[in-house]
Amino acid sequence: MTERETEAGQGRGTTPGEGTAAAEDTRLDLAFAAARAEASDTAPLSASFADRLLADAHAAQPRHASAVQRSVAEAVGQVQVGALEAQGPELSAARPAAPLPFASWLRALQTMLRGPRPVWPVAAGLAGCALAGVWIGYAPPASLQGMTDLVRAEIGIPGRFGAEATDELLLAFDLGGLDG
Amino acid sequence: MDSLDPSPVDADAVLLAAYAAGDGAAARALLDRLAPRLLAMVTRMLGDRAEAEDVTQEAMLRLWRRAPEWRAGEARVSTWVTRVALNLATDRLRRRRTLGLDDAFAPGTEPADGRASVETELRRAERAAALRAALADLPERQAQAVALRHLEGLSNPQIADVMGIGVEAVESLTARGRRGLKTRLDGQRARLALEDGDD
Repeated sequence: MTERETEAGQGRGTTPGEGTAAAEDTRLDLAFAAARAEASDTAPLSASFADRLLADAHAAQPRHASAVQRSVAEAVGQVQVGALEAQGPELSAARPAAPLPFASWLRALQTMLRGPRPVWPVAAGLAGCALAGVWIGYAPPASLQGMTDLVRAEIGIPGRFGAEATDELLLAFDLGGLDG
Repeated sequence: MDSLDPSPVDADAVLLAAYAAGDGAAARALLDRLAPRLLAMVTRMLGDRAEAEDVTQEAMLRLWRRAPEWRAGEARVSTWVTRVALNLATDRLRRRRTLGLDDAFAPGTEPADGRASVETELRRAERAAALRAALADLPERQAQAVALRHLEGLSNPQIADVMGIGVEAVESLTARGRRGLKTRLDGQRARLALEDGDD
């Protein structure tokens, strides 16, 4: 930005007919006072204007804030929450909520189970699948083991790869077989 | 402006972080803390409530958009948003330069005799309009420094903070701005109700 000087009028206060510097100061101060009088230190927001501002805020609010952003924000809130509380209940009430992940999960589960339309069948299905997965991992059925041995024999992997690498390859194959 | 007071914790930054994390109540709290002061400042600078609301809305919108990338410690939220509003208001003020002082005191705005209170109000409005016209004619940085000092009543360190310059530069800008305003107002003195003791 170019600052153009406007000092051409310096010394005008001493020019006859143009008033003293003190009078100019007074006039300027009157003008400042007049402008200040047009609004108090804070201008209350009308309801419609506040609604416009809030609508902007909601429209611009990040809908899918990343987990990193959230955790940073929550960390900032947790660090500074003590100081906020010292500044009054309004701020401490508005501080960022920092729920524990497990607590949120538990709340979601409770909502799901106690909701107006119980989803017990879904929950039971999920639980059954989880148990089956654990069981298959711990004690694979003989049919799966047979399939693994069959492939191992067919492609003769032991001759070209180590035993550990072969097992890794066939493990992927077994899992693929489970998927159907 | 209280929100520019230096306190160890920038409560507005905490609220902004909460807003960015999805807390809708934080937006309302931030609005309550920042918007009324911004609106008052811009109203004093522009003298037009509707225009001041537009500027305040734009400044707040920029703050909302900035929220996800806001880095605590870089600047105080109130300072940042004041700077944005100040720049927007100055831009609007300078776009009005075509209006000029002559138009601000065109015939027909003179107060009628015998109506003291109305006359006082009119004179006050004229003075404010004259000041704004003169401010619009000043170099931008001078106009901003003068407005913050004499309309908002900020201290020089606070102005330095808002404008991102040193205190000495603020003093220089304010002094030159005042001289520039006096020069401009002096030229209109004959037609302005700026004589001593008018009120």
